[in-house]
Amino acid sequence: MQDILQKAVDRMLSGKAHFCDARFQRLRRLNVAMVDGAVRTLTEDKIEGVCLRARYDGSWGYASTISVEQGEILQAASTAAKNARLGSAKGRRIPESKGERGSYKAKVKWHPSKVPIEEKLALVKDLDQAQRDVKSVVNSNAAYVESVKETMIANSFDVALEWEEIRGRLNCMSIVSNGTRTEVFYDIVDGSGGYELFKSLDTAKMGRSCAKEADRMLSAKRCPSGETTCITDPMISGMLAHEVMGHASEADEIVKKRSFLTDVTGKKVASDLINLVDDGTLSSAHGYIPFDDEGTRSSRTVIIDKGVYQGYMQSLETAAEMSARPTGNGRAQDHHRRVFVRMTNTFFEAGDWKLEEMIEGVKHGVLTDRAISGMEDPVGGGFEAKALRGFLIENGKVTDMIRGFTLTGKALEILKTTDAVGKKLELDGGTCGKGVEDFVPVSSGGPHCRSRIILGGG
Amino acid sequence: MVLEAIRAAKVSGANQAEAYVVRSRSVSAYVDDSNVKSVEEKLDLGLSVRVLKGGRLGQASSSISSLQQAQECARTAVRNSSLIPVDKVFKGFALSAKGQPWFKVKDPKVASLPVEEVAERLKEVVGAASEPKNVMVPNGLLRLADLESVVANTHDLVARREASLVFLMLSAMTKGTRPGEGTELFFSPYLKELDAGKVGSSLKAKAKAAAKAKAFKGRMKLQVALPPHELSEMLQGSIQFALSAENVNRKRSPLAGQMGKKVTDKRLTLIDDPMDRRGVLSSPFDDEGTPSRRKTLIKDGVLKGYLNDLYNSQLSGVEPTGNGLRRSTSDTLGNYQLGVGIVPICLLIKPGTKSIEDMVGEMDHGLLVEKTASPEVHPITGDFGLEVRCAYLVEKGEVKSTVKHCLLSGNMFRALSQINGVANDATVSRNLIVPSVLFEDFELIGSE
Repeated sequence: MQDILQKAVDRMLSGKAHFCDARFQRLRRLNVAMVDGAVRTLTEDKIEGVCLRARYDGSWGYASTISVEQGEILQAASTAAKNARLGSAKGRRIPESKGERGSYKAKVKWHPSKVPIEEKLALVKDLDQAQRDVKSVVNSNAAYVESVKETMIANSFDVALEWEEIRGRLNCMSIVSNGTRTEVFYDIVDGSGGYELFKSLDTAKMGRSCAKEADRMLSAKRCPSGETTCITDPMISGMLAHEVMGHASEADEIVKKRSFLTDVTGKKVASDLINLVDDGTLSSAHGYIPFDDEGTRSSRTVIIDKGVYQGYMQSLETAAEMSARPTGNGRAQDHHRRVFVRMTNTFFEAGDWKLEEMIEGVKHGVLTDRAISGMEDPVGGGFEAKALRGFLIENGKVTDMIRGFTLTGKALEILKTTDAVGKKLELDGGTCGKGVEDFVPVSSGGPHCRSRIILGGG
Repeated sequence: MVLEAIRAAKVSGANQAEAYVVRSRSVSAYVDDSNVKSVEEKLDLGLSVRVLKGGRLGQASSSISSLQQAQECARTAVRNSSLIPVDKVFKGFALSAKGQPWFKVKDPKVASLPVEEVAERLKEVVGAASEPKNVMVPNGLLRLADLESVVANTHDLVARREASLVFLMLSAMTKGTRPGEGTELFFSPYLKELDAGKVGSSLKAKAKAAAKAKAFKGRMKLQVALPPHELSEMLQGSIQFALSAENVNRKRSPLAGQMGKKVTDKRLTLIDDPMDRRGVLSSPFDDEGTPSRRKTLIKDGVLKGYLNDLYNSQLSGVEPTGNGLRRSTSDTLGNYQLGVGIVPICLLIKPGTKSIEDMVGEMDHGLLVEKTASPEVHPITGDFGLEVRCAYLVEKGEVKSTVKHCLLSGNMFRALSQINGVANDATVSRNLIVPSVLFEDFELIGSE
């Protein structure tokens, strides 16, 4: 295949591309889901194909095919080169760099393909079954997903790479009801790695705990609304890191001045306690990548250091536009999708506060517990995250549980009020869609952080 | 290919088999910084196979470039079926209807339009949205896609659907130190419905309005008018979720046990009309091959029916409604990988007679929403809290100010029982066609 990819690169160069690459990807996924004690889904999915990408001036032409036949791939290469000339964008040439070559297998203890599906089914069954121990559970759910992604890439700078990425995710969700109210709680274990991610997991304990926490939510109170002192848990801290500060630090938004963080390098943007990074090299995190989808080795990008803004995440193209170093953030969902600047593992670094100390200092406030979702706002810098639940803090003590609510405010104003950052860093894996599509695996997180935030609603 | 997959499944021991194949070609042009930045042409072909063997249901999916891959996919599904317990619910795939359905909601121009012209159409919209010194179009895309899907099974069912999709999503942004951003969405099977000048002008106006927005301070309760695209997403996260028999059967739908009861304001009538030719998912059968017909789900506020796929109809012992779909409203790539989900094919809110402008003119104290960060609703409780990106505060029928950086809070199920008015501006928004709706008693919360 590497020979065919190289021929495709040659074909695009002969079609006058200034830069081009050819990327073969194969994704295999196993999905097991149980609902209310019965297997609802057991499916294996496979998708493979080749993406051809050519650059002419500042525009890109793409073509993709599910065929692995040389003739069809070369035809698609011609199409990509032709499409590149249809755009109107001007841009700097991507500077030639030394092409990296090599073949890398994922370093895992238990490759998922070597573990019988029966073992994975048993894992999911235990996780589902344990939830039913709690009487108020009306619906139990458990699911396991593993993915093995192989990528092979060649480009016009002599890159010839192939590598493997392996990820897994196990989650449960309990729905409880007391006849008048219905509530939900979930738990997730995920990361990059083989089946060792789950080998020593006590799934029965995980399932029971999830159901018990859902049951506790039946007596949760409504969240007070308005601006308050809020201690965000690692998941919600991660929402702020990823959705607002992360997306606004992707250099494609900077190049076109769409980000509220344009031209802030070297400026104080947050409290001294805030350090923010994107790190694609964390080998156990869900957003780990050895290389991005342009063949650039992943790296650690310091975005904010002690409250001072440092720099952006870059692809080959944005690095050329900004005369910066590519950071290994040019990513694509699969061979059908375009490459652009995307995050990997994005998080606030740990501080030196214990959670108990952070709580002690709050007269009236809220402690969040888990996220449902969040939304980006690179233009306005607005923060929106939905918390699954939280707890009231009164006179330095955690008191009543509160139902799901929304957090909002201007991100930079929130980060300027941050006066305590916790000791323990946690990452939460998931997928990030930029716009309405182009989903890539990422993680986000941080420690507990104490700030002033507007709360309200559900 | 579908027949080959079914044959391979039977040879491997399946008692019943179903194959679903999708072939598509999509052309997407992306804008970046007011220029067409990327032009893409993508060909896709894939297959999903489900089998029943000894009462066990297995499945697999794959992109397909050869008959051998189709056979392998079928054999994988059969192998998977042997690993799991007997399914006590699922008894079989859809039975063959009279004749063989073959349905088109297809614009031939979408399939035949040269790639160059797709890029030109996008340039037209961008041109209409831009002002050299004031407004730019930072990003977005125009996608034209052509799709053919076939579902077949061992009951001799063969159902073929041909469809086209025109999808546009763009944002426009004012220049300057305090930029405002507006967005526009467009969904249709037909290219002629895309009026580049109209979409571009609307986009520009939204960006300029957002630039005037100021952070709202304090809090108040008020009437709120939600525009079609915002309302559509909130309905998907609430009433669409609640009408799914999967959620009813699993006791997580607030509408479970409410059949025949009043569940919303009497001004609300909800219909799923799979034959509505404006809809981007429309067809008279679903992706399991079950015929789908026009259904009134809520009539004058009273719950009349749920939506079913084959599995859930067999679980609850009712006729399937033909709503087991594996379709996307914005993309055609990889649809064969989507599991069957219960989705309305084309959900309609019966529009009212007044324009949204007239409704705002009659508002005493309210808010007309332009854009929220993400109009999501907690599907089980119906609670929501939405970050307002741009909205207009209205006093005695007149817009007094434009606001942002605040939370709009409420409960969607309660809101549907407190409808003040339904406008006449029905708009296609994904798999829904809905107008603006005016609700009572939301809360707006700003900083102190």
